[in-house]
Amino acid sequence: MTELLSVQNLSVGFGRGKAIKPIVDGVTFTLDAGETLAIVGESGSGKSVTALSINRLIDYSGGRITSGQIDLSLADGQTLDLATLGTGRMERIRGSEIGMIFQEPMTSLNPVLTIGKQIEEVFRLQGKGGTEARAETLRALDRMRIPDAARRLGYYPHQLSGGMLQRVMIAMALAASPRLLIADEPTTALDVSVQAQIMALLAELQRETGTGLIFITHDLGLVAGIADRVLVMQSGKVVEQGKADDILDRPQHSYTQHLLNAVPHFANGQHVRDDAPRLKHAYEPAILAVKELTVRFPTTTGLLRRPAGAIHAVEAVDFEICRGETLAVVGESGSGKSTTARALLGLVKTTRGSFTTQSSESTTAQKPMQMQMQMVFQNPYASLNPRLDVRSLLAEPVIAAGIRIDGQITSRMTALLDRVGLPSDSLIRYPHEFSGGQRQRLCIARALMLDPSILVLDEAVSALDVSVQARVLDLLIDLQKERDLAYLFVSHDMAVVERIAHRVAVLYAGQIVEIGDARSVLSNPQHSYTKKLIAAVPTMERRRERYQLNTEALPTLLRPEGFEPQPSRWDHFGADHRVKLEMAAAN
Amino acid sequence: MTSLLSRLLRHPSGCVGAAIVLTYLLLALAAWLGLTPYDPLQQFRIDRLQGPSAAHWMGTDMFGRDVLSRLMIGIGQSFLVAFSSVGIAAVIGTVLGLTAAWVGRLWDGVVMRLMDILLAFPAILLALLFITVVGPGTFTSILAIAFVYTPIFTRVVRGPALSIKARDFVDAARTFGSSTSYILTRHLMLNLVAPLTVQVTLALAWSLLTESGLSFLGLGTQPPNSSLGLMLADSINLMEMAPWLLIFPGLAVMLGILGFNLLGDALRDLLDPRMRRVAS
Repeated sequence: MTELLSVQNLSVGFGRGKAIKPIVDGVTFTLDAGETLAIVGESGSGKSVTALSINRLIDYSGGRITSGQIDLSLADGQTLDLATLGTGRMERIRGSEIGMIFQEPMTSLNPVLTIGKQIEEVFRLQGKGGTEARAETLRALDRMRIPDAARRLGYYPHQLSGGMLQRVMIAMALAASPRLLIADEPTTALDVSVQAQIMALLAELQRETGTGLIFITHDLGLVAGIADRVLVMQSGKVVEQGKADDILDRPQHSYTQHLLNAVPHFANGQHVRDDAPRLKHAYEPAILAVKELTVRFPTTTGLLRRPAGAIHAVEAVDFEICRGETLAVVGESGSGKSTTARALLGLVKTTRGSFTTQSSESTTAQKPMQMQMQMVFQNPYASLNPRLDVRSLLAEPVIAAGIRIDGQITSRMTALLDRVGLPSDSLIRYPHEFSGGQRQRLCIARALMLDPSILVLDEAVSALDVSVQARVLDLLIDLQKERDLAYLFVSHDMAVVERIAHRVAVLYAGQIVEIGDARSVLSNPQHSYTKKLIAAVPTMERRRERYQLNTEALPTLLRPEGFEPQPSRWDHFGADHRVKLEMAAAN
Repeated sequence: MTSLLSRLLRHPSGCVGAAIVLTYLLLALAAWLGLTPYDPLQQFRIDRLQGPSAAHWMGTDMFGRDVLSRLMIGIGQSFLVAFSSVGIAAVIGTVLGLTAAWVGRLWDGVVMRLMDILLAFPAILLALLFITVVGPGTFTSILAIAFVYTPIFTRVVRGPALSIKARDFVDAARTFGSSTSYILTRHLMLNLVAPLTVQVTLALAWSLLTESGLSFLGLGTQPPNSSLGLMLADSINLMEMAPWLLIFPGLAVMLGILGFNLLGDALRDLLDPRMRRVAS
């Protein structure tokens, strides 16, 4: 194979003059035509900066290449050093030789132009005229396997789903048939089944066009699925690089080993926890019992706001959680899993159904629901008021419960902070002084202030870096064992679910389609949706796999007024595994 | 708070702005304590319309009154009107904006449409209308200016309040069962301090100008009392003969507005969390 790109000793810094702060330090690698290189690392490792340096977009975000060489070989055999190229030449290279896909397709497209116009622009830049550009645009969208491409050209970005928008972005990046494509976490913002689609598309397009691909990710499962070679970065330096199989099977550097061992990987239910409370006790009443929970959002139409039906976000959801047990709720975005969690905490009004909590100690008076159930949110940066210090943050649930803050409460605060692994001087500090992982520990401590028996964790580790994620998961598991907590764990990440769940409930279009023992559900899924969902999860075992392309859209949840779905019928597999019967008729 | 002050003094335009505002405040305080060079109402008949001299630093007016003394009183008067009107507007506007954002629905609609109507009129016209109904005087000009600036505060508060209301920490507070008043004060108001501080300083500058305008038109402070606008109005007929009557009050208005604006700009920079991260 011919060498396409050769990066030598690349160093990049941010800032000016003497205060320049090095972010990337001495990175060296090469990429052949048609090859896929995965750059792996956590946030702050310099992986994105490395990629942005190659097409010199780094110049526009305050960075500067301080030393090194970036040699790109052009189609005519010439070699160019991109590190020192002038701005004008660089702009032409960016348009024609190097394509780039970003993480957030929703913000990377102009919301006031149709997608057709935006793709067409790339062809016009190549000097193609009206009809020719339009024809090329249509062909580009067709190549992305976007169904009904001709009609979609007139769509605006907000009319398309995230997965579709990412396809549009790829179409734009590939419009100029670049020799090098850089994908910066292209699937991180997408659902797992959509992610599989995008990965399949990228792999297929690469085979067709022979483009070199640099793929930046934090997910080693994805790396196994697509990469030929892997480069592992930590704090701006390359710690290890080599063939994908070598790195994944025989990692040499301790950091790579840490990433491979500490970070959750999906293994089809082989690594589920074996301390399920249901196995130990013959019978224990459920601490949280949810019956027929239904949430519908009425919609209106026209000027007069006439009712036009309702969005059935959650439909007749039943489940029970025992003391010391984790029930994971999984599903795609829009499946109603967060709405279920929020309904339990009273953040969303339930349309129908009931849920009851129960104290096991009959001697103490029944605590109000609010004190028994607490919630931890997804984004630790948004769920803590930036203007309050930690003492006030921890005091809030106590004040809300009408308890006076005294010495006992303060010592409880310090004990909890210590338990979740935060320094003892934290009480007088403010949220911005903590990292994301520490903030999430703070949120956990706050949720535990009233000694609840149930924690609702809504994507509680999804916003964290992979190795931080693993440590917070370990903390949650330890706390559960110590305090016999029941967890309702909402997540889209199957690897995380496998690590923490005792039981799994699969939500699809607002309904539970499968629920049961985690090992049974993950290793032997019965419902067609669960099968599809699990098949889409990247794993270490599946190397260079071809995912199937699927363009099916999520069914609409908007139902006419007065619509009542038929009651579900269930099929039982084993002791604790129920599956909703799939009806032939559209549901 | 001490760190904000020291950062303000290190901010170039903030330092200048703070110095001007502080000087004005000291002048106003001195005038209020009677520490003017002369009695502002005392008429030196022989020294009428004298230019600046050692005895009268800013000269004398057509009645032989000392311009500097009148200017100090005028600054005090203008500041009294500016601070009280902006104070009233800020309190009422904040309450309206906060409740509009929190309650939403009909209340939000009613409040904001009302504010839109008020905002549709030019400020001075609205104040004129108000004074025509109530009658001129210092107290009515305070009310009139407060009336004019309330919609601005309502808007400034409602926007951020809406976005803070949707933040996770407000949801978290709800799951704890925190009371509405606790959420409004601890979560919303605390996060609104920054935009409000900036808006208050900028509104002070504008209300200083509005007060001068109203007094100039004879609808604000009434003679023989003194205010910057009134001094300007008195000077127009004598502009060619005694330009100092125009220049000094004019400069005073201009410098005051400049001071508040510089201070407002600096506070906007300093209270922006993104700027703080760079600074610290």
